[in-house]
Amino acid sequence: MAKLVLIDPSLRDSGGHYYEYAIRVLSSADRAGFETVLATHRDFPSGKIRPWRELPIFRHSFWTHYQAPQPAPPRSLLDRGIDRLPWPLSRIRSAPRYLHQLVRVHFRFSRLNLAVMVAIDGRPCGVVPLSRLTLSSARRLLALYRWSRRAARLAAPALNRVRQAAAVAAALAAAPAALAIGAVLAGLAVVGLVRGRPAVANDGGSFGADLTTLGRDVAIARGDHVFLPTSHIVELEGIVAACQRVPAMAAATWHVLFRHDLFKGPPGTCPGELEAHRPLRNALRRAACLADLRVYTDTELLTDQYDALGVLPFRTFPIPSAALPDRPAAAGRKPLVVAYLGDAREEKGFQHLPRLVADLHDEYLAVGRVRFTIQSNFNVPGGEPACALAKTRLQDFDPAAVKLIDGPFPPAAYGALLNATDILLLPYDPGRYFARSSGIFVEAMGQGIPAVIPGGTWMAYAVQDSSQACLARLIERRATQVAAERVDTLAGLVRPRPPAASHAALVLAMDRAAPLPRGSLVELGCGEALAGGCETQVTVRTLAAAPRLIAVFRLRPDTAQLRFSATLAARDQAIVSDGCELIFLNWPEDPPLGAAVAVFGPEPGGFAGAVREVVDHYPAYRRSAAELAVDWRSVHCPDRMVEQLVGGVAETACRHTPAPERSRRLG
Amino acid sequence: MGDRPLIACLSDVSVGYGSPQGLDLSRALAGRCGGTALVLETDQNERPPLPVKHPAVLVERLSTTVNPHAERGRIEFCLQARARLETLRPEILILCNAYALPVLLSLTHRPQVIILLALERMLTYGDEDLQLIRLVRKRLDLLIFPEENRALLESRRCLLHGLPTVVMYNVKMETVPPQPVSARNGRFIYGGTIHPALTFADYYLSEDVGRFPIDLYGLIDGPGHDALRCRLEAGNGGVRYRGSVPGGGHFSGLLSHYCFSLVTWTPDREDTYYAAPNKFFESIACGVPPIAAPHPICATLINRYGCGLLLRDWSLAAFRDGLAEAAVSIGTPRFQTLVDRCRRAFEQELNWDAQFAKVVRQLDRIAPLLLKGNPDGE
Repeated sequence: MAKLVLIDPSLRDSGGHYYEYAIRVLSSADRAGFETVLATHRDFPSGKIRPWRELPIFRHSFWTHYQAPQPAPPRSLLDRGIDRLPWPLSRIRSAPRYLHQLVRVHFRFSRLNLAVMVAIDGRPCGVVPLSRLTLSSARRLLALYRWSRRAARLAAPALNRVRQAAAVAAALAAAPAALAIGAVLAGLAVVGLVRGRPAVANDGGSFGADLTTLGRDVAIARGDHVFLPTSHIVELEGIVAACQRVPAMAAATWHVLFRHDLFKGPPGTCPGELEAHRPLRNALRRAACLADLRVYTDTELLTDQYDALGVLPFRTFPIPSAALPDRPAAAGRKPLVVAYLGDAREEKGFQHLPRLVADLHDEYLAVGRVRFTIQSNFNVPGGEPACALAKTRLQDFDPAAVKLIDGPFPPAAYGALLNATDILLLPYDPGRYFARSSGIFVEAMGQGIPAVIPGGTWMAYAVQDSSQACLARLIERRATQVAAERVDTLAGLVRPRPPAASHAALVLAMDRAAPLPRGSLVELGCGEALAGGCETQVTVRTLAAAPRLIAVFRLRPDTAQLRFSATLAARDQAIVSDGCELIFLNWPEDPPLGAAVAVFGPEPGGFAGAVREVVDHYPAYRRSAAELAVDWRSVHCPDRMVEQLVGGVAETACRHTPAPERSRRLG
Repeated sequence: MGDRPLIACLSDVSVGYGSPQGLDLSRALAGRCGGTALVLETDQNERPPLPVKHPAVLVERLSTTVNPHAERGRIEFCLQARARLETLRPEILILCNAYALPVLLSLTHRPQVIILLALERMLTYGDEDLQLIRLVRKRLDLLIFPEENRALLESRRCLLHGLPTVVMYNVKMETVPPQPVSARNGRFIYGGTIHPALTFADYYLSEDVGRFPIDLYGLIDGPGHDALRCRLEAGNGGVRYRGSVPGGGHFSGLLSHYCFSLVTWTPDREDTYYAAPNKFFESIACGVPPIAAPHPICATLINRYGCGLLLRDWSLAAFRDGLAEAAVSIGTPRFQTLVDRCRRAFEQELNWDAQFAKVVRQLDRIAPLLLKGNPDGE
């Protein structure tokens, strides 16, 4: 029977997203008739009866040997040995510096220092009694200091000669002690060598060795599939090492999935960026030469980035989402539950939550329209500084309205939490999540839960078509148009607001002759000039992937003039378009301006504005999210993923373009 | 001090003239735990001692041979303060800014709670204070910052994260009720330091700004302050300099009669960019909508409550446009709306009780029995 071996050295316990991912894949593979094996970190608690064989083999997780673009500075064996000593012996090196700081700070604020100052400037201190002893000590200290400086200047040449002679004599006299100290240092170095390199070592030697052990144990051979769902250079080097040691392993099919972005934008945004990834390209080449290597990412934007390496064609895998129970019928009750789930981390935007809660407190929280459930356990001890501060501030709110919960949660509890959520907050850092996937976003979309997400991320990209289709249908209702005009460019475009207009829409037709690369970020802006001259700005960021981009802005009643703009987020590129249509609309019913998700931009208050948008139009967002979920679950299905894995199916798009007949029911 | 718990506060300034936060916090904690507060203040020549009319609060001035903010003066103050604290043995110790942190280096008495009220930059007295902060860090129980961005920046810079932290806005303990709109005098008010570099004093001398009825209150400071005083006292169109108003409730009483209050600081330093101006909160409490430069906390609160006007930047043009927008709204329903929103902001969040409650919550976690003396406060 062919085997499917899933290798994830970061699994240390049976909880969390990565473990859930693994068991979904293995369960599907088991159903498909494979013999399944799960290889984990050594600390993984095996022993439970499961359909697959569990092998806790790996000594280091992905996170402890992930190779940064700049390698860490080399550390000597002696340093590593000292680090292995118990505290406080491990602080031997820093002890002199610490003692110096301690003495210096204490002296700075001491009576003796005050006495020295008195001695220097001659003004007696009338308020702090300084004893004669202190004063005389200070004077002597000052005199000694001055004398020693003068003496050192005069005697410098002779002192140098004396110093040299003394050093030789001292070395000879101290030879036995020096030998003893040298022996101790050598012993420490041996400790460093024998106890192995620390977990932050930057090479894949241990991974390759552990992989070899696994290969022999499981007898990986032709016809088997080995899947590494989180990979980088170390894993590729490990595959090379293992296949060299055990040639039979090279005959298996190796499936390697990459989840982390290489650039902060689409390829070609930053000149010279590919050079930083030469080690990865080389590792891919070496592995591909030796083994049957298939490479994947889990988003199209990541696939574009990795394809730019020009080594192997990458394919996009769906993200296997959990088969959670259907949401209970009471979902959508009042108050709506707005939730943040996942670790409290800066890259996930946890630090923005106190402001959001405060912004919504008056009109939504205090009147019982919403309440918050916020997971607030940290990923590092004490939490990242901004998250630790944010948690303190969240504790200031009424616990009945803002409930803080600590995870991580076992799968059943997590599923219950997700299903109890009406609106999911995902205020991720767009810089870090431009192309990266989000497991919880996939699960939320699969369950039909509306989400609030930042523009410029894969999440916004993945559901953009639905939102754009919704806006297009709204705009096409001609009866609601107050005014419309075609303009060649938005640069410097200023228009007065027609009195009857409640909304303004920009429809930017992208130039077919010079299309922007997939993933380019476009900022469409609407600045409102008020009667007294002050302005507010509303900006929507939309990933350019379609022939046209649409943005709709709500207008304030006291807006006099509007300034429109369209710029590329990478601002050294001009937008070449086929022109733009500016449409003023009268929508007194204030329809929702999106489907399934609300996307916020970088402007202040954008996050709160997007949450208000979903809360105020919740039934519509819930409906559109439920319709999207049907399509979504069929794509992000574990069985489909395993089929693609073992069948070598060509790339399947993982974005969701609504079917025409279904799209008429959205919005 | 008897058997009542003692709260000792080491103030880096002579109290009663500017920031009242140290005094207010001491007084509130004394009221909360049924104790007495003793404020040890520095001896600033230009600020004679002011009486504090509260039975539970005493102020004691510690003299120094030189200016208290010189290095020698700081050492003298800290040595005297330490000696006093060893005698007094307070249960709660409040340190106003990093000025008096050296006291903790060799203070043998262990108060139940040590609070650092960080109203200014932690490294105001030089980067060498970083070593001092690292040495005394473990003795601090609670940090209070007036603004969230500064809390984060200082926590990272001085390795203070992990300590219990509260962001407590610079609201006043005592406020005056707002005047009805019909009783307002139709003018703008600026209250605070008048300094050409720090608070845009030159703007008030420009022709554009002279078109508006503005009253200036405060001390004139900075280079060329004498010439500036002459020019301001001569007047510029509608702009009039009214002199300095003593601390206490006098300024709030004046403020409440005005239509708008101006709040601007030059954003060229971290602590002025991330300013949490007292006058901003005082204006809102008095029902006087602030016209504020876009300091982050001002922007956040004005956007949240719609309780004022936010300038687009710190330029003269933006200042003028903001004044114009405000002037147009006086006497209209929009002005009443702004006043109502100030009241709502004050009642919801920007009042002493709401802000002090954050401190109480943290203290209840740190020292649960400490504040049980008088749970209803003063």
